[in-house]
Amino acid sequence: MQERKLKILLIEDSTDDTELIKRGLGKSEGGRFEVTAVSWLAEGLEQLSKDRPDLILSDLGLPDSHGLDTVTKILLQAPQIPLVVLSGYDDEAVAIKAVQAGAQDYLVKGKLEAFQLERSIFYSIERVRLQAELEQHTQQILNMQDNLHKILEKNADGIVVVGEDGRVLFANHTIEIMLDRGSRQLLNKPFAYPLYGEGVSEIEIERADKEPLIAEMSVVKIQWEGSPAYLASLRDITRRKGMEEELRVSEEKYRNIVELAQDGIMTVDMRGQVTSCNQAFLDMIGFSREDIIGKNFTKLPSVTPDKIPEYLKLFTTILNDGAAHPIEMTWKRVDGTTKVSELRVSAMKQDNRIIGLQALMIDITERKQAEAALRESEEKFSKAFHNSANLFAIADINDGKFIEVNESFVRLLGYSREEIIGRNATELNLWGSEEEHQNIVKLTRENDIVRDVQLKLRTRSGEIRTGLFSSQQITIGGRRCFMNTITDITGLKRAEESLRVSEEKFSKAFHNSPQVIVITKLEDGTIIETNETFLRLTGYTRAEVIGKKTIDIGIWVDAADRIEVMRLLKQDKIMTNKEYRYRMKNGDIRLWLFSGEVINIDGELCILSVTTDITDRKQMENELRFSDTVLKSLHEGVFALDNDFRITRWNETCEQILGIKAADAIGKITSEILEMVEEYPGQNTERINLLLEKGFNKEEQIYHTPRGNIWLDVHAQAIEANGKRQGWITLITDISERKKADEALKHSEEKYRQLINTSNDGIVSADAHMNFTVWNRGAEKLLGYKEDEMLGKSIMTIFPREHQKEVARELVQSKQADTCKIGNLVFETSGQKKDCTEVPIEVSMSTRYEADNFFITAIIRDITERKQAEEKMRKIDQMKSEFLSNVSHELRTPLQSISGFTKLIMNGQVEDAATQQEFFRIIDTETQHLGNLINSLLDMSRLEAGRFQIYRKPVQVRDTFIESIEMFHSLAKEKNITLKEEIPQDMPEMEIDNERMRQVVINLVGNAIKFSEPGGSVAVKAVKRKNDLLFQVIDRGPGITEEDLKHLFERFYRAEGETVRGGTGLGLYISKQIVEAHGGRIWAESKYGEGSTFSFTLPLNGKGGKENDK
Amino acid sequence: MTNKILVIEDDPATSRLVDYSLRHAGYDVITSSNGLEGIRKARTEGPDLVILDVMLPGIDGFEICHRLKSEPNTARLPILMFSAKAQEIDRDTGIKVGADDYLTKPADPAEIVNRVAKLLAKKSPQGAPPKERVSG
Repeated sequence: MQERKLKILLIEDSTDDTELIKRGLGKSEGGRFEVTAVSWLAEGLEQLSKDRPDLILSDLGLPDSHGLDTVTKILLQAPQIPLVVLSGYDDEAVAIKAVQAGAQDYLVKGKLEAFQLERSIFYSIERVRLQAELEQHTQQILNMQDNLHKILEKNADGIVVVGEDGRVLFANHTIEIMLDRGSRQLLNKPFAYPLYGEGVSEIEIERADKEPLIAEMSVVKIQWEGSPAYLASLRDITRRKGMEEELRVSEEKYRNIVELAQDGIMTVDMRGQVTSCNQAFLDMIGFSREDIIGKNFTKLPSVTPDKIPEYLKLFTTILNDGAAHPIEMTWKRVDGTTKVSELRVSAMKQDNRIIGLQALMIDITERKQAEAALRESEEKFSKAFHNSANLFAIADINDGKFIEVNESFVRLLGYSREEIIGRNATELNLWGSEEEHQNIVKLTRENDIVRDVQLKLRTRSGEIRTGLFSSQQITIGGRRCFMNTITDITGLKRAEESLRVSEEKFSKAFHNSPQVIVITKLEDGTIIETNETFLRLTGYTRAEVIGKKTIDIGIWVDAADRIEVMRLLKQDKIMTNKEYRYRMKNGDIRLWLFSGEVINIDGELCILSVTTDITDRKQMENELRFSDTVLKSLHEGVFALDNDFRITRWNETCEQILGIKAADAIGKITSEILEMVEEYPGQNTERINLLLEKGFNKEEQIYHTPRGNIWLDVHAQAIEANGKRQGWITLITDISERKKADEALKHSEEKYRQLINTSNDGIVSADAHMNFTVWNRGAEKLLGYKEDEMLGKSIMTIFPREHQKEVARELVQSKQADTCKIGNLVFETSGQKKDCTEVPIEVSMSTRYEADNFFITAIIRDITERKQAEEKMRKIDQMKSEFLSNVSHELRTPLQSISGFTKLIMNGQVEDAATQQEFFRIIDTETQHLGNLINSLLDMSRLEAGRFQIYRKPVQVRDTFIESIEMFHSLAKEKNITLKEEIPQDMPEMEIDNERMRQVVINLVGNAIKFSEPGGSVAVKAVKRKNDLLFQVIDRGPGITEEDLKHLFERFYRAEGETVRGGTGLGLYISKQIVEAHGGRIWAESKYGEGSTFSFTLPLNGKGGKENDK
Repeated sequence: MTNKILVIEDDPATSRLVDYSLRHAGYDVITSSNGLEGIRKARTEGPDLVILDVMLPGIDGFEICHRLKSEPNTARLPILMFSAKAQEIDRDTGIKVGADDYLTKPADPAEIVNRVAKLLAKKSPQGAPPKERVSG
């Protein structure tokens, strides 16, 4: 690859030295240097503004600057370009000072060797490049530090850095809030919480006048500003902790209730394995918990194998239709005894789905014993009833219709059982005598018991039998009946005996009932009889209660309750299932479910009451209710799910937030009633998997609900017990309003962003660290960097190194000027594009303070065109001023001759007549020259004013050309220049402005001779072509540079170096106007160093051209 | 000995005027119409004073002046710059590059002669003005 040539700007006033250095550098291999040499500092500085060299080589003593001044001026304009100074032997001390002032090196002229020069150049360039790189790296490191600081500052977690001595080195804003302390109270003070090396711990933060806060703290070791330190990151987990605690307390409560229940409670999962049981259950079967839990129910040591099919049938029934049929169950206890319990099994459901069975076991061993006794008694009674030789009949007390009769009755009276049941004695015509009938009716009405009344009965066959009639009123199934007995007088004793046995059996049943049975007098509450259950529950002995009034014993907690019972029973005779509170002997208050009935015992009205203790059941109900209330009162939506995401709990806040009633939610799977909106397909599956894996999830999510789309802050947490996942508890907060506000903000921002992005100007903002936060498309177009490249970058990125200090100065000034909150500043500088080229820019910057931070917004405008226009104006001004200076010079030169010779002659200093003649001729020539000059100026001013005209006349153009050229023969001869003309005879006659055309030819030929060196040649040619005539002036002069060629025909323009040759810079400009006015074209071609050709054409048709053609 | 004046001037009319005026005042005159030739003549012809135009083809007057003043042989040679460049800055530049005097065109021929005499008197205070010598 070919290396780029190094551009060297050489400022050296001595042409010899310039030549020497150029030659020295020219010797280098492959011509690596391109030297631009100037001899004045001003020229050097101007060259610097046009083209940036790689190195400046400057003499210290210049025509327009000396010594250190030269160095200072160069460094001021181009501090970034390496400078090597050239000095003489005598001013080497100054050169050393120059190096101290910023020059890279110095070279002593005269001691100069080519390789030294080259080495010094490369060394200087390299040194400046290394310095620039070093500065850039330093800047990058500073940026990185800034970014790190920002991350720590803005972190949502509290972040604190603690040194090895335990003192706080850094605290971010969040930690100030968490600890409720300002940075001043924290920094350099000891950190209040122990940092045990690296790791995660929980700490409780006490805060004055505020709730304490629980935080999760993770600590890592880091290097902070060169020393080892700890970085602790604190996260507020107070609320999560609170919820967990609440849940734990609630569970504890339920567990206690279950444990305290007197009835056995056991749960079985769907595989039949016992999952839990309470102490009462264990007491009942006599085994330990370890023997039971986790075992299959049918394999329990207490379960008798013959009963298993019955249990399985029960379970199947429940699982199928859910209906609970209590069954009895016999347990084999560990001590070999058996217990009987009533087994109430119900399904355990979560979300309407059965997850297991729960069994409530009421020990009914005692009741069963009583029942067995009763059954035995009944059986005996029934046998006696049916097998007795006596006639038995049970009849309704109201209509006397028979309800039941015995075999003897049927056999004796000759009617079949079907004929008797449902009829009364009158309908069957049983009465032997109407008198006896009436007597018995009277007796039975007046007495509950009628004994041994003699009567006659008519059988179906009409036979009259005599018997002893006894009757007693009884209640069977709540129905009042007569129990009638008719005995042969001989069989009476046997019947009486039978009755006594029956009564005894009834009494046993009474006493052994598992329910509390008490008989009291209706009037005063005197206890006539109680059963064992009453005594067991209340703790009284029989002696302490029998014959005592209930009021006196104090069994009624509220005396008014008894009064109510009296009133209701007197009114209705019967009452069922009323709850009253009773006081036990030991003072415990129990809730009993009371049923009572007024009965007549030996003619006295009594209350037969049957009650059940429902205290425990009630308590359980209350606990449940409390738990529900807690859920309801939470301000957050809370719902619970089982392991299949079926909803088991749903509080009121949930109803409000989601618009779904608990009734519609419980039992459903969440996805049936709620839909999480996915940001991409499959996100919900990912969410579920993540939740199952981690056991919790906290996320802001959008849900489709009956209320529309709602933004929720969702926090799902697994409920775990004994290491097993039991389900989920989910907390939701409606954050739609906040999201809406966020969205509105985003929208508004987007609008501004669009506005900003459509601007052609660069619009940028920067934060307090001077890093870009806004970078619009205009800025992208202007400087080439894309937005994502620039956000977070230092604003200095867009300024060339040499302008960075200046920009920084502007910023500092605008900061200092900030007494009010907003500062505005406009300045012009140079911007550096991505491709490292520079572009002139105008920066309108406004700064503002917010919360002690300094922000900048700036509009950057490309002012290249303005700069170019300004530059052009400046050049034109410069040209004008040079023009004036030249005009003055050109006018003064002929004036000098005219006035000088005139004075000589006038003063009589020219005595010789021939000399006088010579002087007069000179005066005449110079006067003409002066006149021509003035004409040129007038032409120019006419052109400027648009009043330039040509006047055409038919002319032989050949004559015009020849006459014009003839004027130069003598001058050419004088300068030893060959002037050749090749103008053919067949030139046409054309309509042109003869004077003006002569002016053009004179100008072109004059220039050619003026710029030719002695010995050179100038050729003038004219050719008639198809449509036009071509006129050319060819010289072998120094030629014209490409740059000069472009501007040659502009007014006031004079090529480099022409300054010393005089001229007004108007000749070619005026020539061009004249040629174009004739409809022709004028141009120049040149090869630098070989000569130039100036050409113009004139159209043969004569007419055409511009409007100034007359 | 007659003082010899070197006139470096590219405008033939002006050159003739100065040449005539100085000769008329009694000086020897040599002329040159371009810079390189002028410098050569200054070195070889041993003039007592140089009248130097500024706007010259090739090397300009300022440059010529600077060079002459830089060379030990010609450093003490009085130089009168005679130019149509009449601005203050031109005059300053002339003085800066070492010109002993600066005269603006157009000037009275008598004034040219007068300035030359003054510069020569300064150079050699004991020497009398040449004109007086000739006429005397």
